[in-house]
Amino acid sequence: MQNAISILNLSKTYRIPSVLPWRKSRRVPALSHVQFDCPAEKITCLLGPNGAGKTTIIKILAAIVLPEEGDVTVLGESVFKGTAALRQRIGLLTPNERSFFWRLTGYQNLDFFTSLYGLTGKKKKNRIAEVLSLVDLEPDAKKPFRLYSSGMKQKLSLARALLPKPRVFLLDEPTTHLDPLARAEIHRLIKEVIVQESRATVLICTHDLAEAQKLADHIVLLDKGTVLAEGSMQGLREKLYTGHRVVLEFERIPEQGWLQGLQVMDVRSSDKQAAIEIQDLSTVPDIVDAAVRMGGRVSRCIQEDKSLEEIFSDFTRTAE
Amino acid sequence: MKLVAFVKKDILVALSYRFRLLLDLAGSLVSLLILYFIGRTFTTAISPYLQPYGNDFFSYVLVGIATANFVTVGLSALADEIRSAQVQGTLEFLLATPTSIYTILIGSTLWSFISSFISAAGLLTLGAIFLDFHVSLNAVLFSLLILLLTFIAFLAIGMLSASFVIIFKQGNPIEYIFGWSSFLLGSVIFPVEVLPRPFQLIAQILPISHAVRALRGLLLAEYTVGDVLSSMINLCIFILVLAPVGGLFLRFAVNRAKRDGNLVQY
Repeated sequence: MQNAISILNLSKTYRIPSVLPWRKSRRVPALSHVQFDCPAEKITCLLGPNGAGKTTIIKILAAIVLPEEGDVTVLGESVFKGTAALRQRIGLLTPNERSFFWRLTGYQNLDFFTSLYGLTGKKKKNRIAEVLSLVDLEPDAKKPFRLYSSGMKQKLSLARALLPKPRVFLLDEPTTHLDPLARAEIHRLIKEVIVQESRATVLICTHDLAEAQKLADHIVLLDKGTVLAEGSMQGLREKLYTGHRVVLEFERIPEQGWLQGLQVMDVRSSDKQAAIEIQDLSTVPDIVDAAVRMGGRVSRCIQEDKSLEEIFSDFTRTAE
Repeated sequence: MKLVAFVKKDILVALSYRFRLLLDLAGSLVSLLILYFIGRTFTTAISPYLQPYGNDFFSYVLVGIATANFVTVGLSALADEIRSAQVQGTLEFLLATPTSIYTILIGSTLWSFISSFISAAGLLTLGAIFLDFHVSLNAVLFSLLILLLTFIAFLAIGMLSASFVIIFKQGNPIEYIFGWSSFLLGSVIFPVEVLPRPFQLIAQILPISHAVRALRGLLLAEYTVGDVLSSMINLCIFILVLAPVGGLFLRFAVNRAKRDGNLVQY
């Protein structure tokens, strides 16, 4: 199978009831004709700002929320049929640490959830031991969940998602509130344990570009409920930004309007510096010439890659 | 096995709140003593309504209260558990496991039923050992059967109640209607015969009236199974009518909440 998850023309609105009972409730769009695929045995990152609709997609995939329109298949089966067999093959990690029972230990929590996945007796014990070992949480398994650090809670969430040996993992903000060390550990678990060892498919929701850059084989850029672009990180970069940035540093600033007549896409000037976006690097000598002609003295001229954050935020702004 | 997992989890959670367990136990003992002394106050009074039950108000009211506590749990447990799972944040994940909503709901309430059964049995046992509560032990087996029927009937009403919580989050008319009417009209503390005739007729459509009548008959008046058969049949009719209605409402409520995206909101 080439794609483990296929989302076709998905639309969803949320009903907001009116405060006044005689007024009609209104509907707020959350997703609008969303369409993308997640390749099997790869990591797909659903990247977008808060409110983009990432969690709604995860909830629809987990059959917790129903859309108005569209079709969603996971491992070739429609999620709207909601069969137990399909849910058995999906591992879910939510950012909500309250989805555990705080009065119970980590082990007792896993024991309960393992039973819900239909495992009993020795098989259950072995599986719990396996996942605890995978996430390196064995020494703390007998501690009450309420005493866990954020990193331990997130590791236990991952352990819980691993319990049914799923083929597809839905990870919603898996590293929220984690320090850099804990984040790195969760990233390692996702790459090594889930993808390389288990050969499962992963869909991660994140607003963190660095996380997407580190983990993703495939990125879906989402904003305001619509897919803006998708592809590999490099592919997206090339697709979204075709220009170059040249930064000129001045000992003496040229007169105003010195760039007039030259083919530039954008200029951002600050004190004794100008960052110029150009389509073609061959225009650089003309730019330097123009600066000198207009009384400027150039101390340095460097080519600087536009950061991914800038590319995405510029693209998101343009899409608006 | 999934149901057992729910009960095991709830026992572990309950045991982690030891002080609350202690207070619940103390509260039950105090209630028992209050009922006992109210009964003692009326020892010499003869009421024609209590004569079939040995004219013993304490025994009469103890069976009523024990049943009513059990029924109250049946009415509110499903809705309470849903709300609690929404507030705690566990419902979302439970629904994502390969477990049906019905298993989740019944499993979540089983411990409430078991603990209220233990509490009711404990009250009756303490009353029998220390406070002159006269009970016919021969009838215990059939009493358990009646309690089971009562449990299922109120679980069905509980499904209706849970549907309201899923859709409206707060404000649950089913709990109010059945809760109040059960205590007022269900012969829990006083016999329904002392109420005006229309109320007596309404009492007939409440499952608790039949449960209490049958339990008192078996435990206090040495009725035979034949004597309480009509009450048992009535409880079965309630189940046959209410269970499908409750199930349909619940399915409708869950689907609507999934469409509105507010299943786990509270």
